[in-house]
Amino acid sequence: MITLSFDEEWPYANGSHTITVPIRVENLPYWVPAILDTGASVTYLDNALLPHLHIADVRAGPSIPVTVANGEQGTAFLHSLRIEVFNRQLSIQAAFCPDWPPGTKNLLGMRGFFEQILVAFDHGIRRLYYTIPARPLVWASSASGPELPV
Amino acid sequence: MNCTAAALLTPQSVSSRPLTVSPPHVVNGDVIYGGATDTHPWKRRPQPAAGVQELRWFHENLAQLAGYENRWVALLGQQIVAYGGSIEEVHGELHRRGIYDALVVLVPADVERREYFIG
Repeated sequence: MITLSFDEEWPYANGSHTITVPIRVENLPYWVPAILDTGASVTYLDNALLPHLHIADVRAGPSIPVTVANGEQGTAFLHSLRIEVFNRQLSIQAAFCPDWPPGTKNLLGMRGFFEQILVAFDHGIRRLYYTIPARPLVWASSASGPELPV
Repeated sequence: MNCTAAALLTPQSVSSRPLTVSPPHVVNGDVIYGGATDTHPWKRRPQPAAGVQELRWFHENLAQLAGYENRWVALLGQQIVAYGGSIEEVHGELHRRGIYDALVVLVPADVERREYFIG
């Protein structure tokens, strides 16, 4: 048996079965909702945020092919950003898909987010537990690879 | 708070496949990867619960946002402090008024619809 320890508890009660948390991206003067999505291979952020993130050309980042749940495919571009979540600051690589409309939901996915934070859910009582483990983190340096579901 | 959970995992259940590991650079508890290129100072604000109350209110009172469908709104507490047709408009208004901890959300086209997310 392996025992996992967590530093913090986070109650949530938003009336749905989706766990949404507020995040701040870079120094934007506001918070935006983001879904904790273990089914997303990458962290995805809404294009609407781009104008204020000092990203002049979203296509300048490494490209990755992505597929959404209904099978629709697209190309996303990775950019290194800092986010604040759970009162923690993290540097992550986030994907932007310029072909998707503004207002697309922000997703905190496996790459960039869940590989940095240890999270456990007890959805029956609407609680999650999290900590940042003190260990080297796995990080693939190349953007190339198989098609990633978002 | 120290919470503990147990998982029925064994070392044998973990893949032994070699992985690419880049040790992160840690500054003040923050993990900084080599790929992060933006080095301008992070302006941390001591509001650990910022956005939480607003997000809960948004999910539990969406119907009260009738009239704001398809608009971006900035919530602070239980109040709309700015709104607009684009997030840029809301950003500008928040900046002009010096409000830094609002939650900005896009109100869906149907505020009565209970939505289940599949993604």
